[in-house]
Amino acid sequence: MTIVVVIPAFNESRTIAGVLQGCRGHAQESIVVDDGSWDDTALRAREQGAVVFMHLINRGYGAALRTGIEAALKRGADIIVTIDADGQHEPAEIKNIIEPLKRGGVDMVIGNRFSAQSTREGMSVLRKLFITAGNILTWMLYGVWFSDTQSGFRAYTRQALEKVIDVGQNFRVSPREFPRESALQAEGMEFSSEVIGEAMRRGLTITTIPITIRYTNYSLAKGQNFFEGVRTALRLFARRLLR
Amino acid sequence: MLFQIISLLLIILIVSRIVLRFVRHEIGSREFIYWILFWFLAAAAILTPDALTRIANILGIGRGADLAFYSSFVIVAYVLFRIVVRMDRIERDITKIVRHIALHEGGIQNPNSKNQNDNG
Repeated sequence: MTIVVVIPAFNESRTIAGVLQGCRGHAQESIVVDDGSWDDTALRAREQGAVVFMHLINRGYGAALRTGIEAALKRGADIIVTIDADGQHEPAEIKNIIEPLKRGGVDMVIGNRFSAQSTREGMSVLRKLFITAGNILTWMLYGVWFSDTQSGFRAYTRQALEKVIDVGQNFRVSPREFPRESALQAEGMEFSSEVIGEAMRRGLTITTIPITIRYTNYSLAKGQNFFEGVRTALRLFARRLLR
Repeated sequence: MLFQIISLLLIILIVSRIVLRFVRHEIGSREFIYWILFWFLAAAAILTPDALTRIANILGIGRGADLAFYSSFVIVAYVLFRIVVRMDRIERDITKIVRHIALHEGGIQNPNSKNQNDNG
């Protein structure tokens, strides 16, 4: 069973090496998608032996994640783990997050930062509010409730991602020729919610497991701010209305 | 009277630009008809303000000017919506191109193929 870690990264040269070192031994391969960084993210990732795919310009978290997922599927991954590049997650927990998938009966696992068993360090009240707002929005738009819909630490089976992502839909020139694209078009942070909505729509089984989260000043500064949060919410609403 | 003359001159100028763009094939026939119709109606409203007031009364709006104001609001909102939708599509298309290049340069030979054995 081939396990591949996908890490979207934008200007993460300070932390990417540490994250990749942590992933070693837990996955056969680490894929880093450098989302148009202007620092040495790609170089640092290659030094750690990661397979690097580079976006020429910054396209957002969801876009980078999708590029990495498509690459992982193409490279024969059976299980795909996504993890943030800012060091907030604990790569040693990859074995826990893939466990439900290995046991079977589950298509997608979300690392939950709010379980009673979760360990949280440095999470601000504002961050908690953002995440709760994201949960409420996901519930309003897709009718499902999870206590951490915005977590970037997740694991998917190959079959689940093939269903929700619809690989090969790139470069469809005429929308008339292909009337229905996958709903998963999110390019920004709204990807996190949309992937849950799309998975539920396709009848996939999602479970959550408690994870450790370590916020530092660095990761807090890199995360969503208020305006990005509002923009994410508006994009989610607009997409849902346009469907 | 002065307002009508200035407005009509402006409309003639705009219509001439639309015709020019159509002749140069910069806009399609559908878009050309839309705009010509729009400015024709605008000119008609300026030339016969009483007719506008009559239509407004039929619709239950007091004045012709109010009808013009409400209509412009609806038109602007619609145009804005179309621009937002088009921008969203352009953004997604840019992402597709960026992704294609990233995958291709990363050694995946057929990024659009569903077959996993088609990679490099």
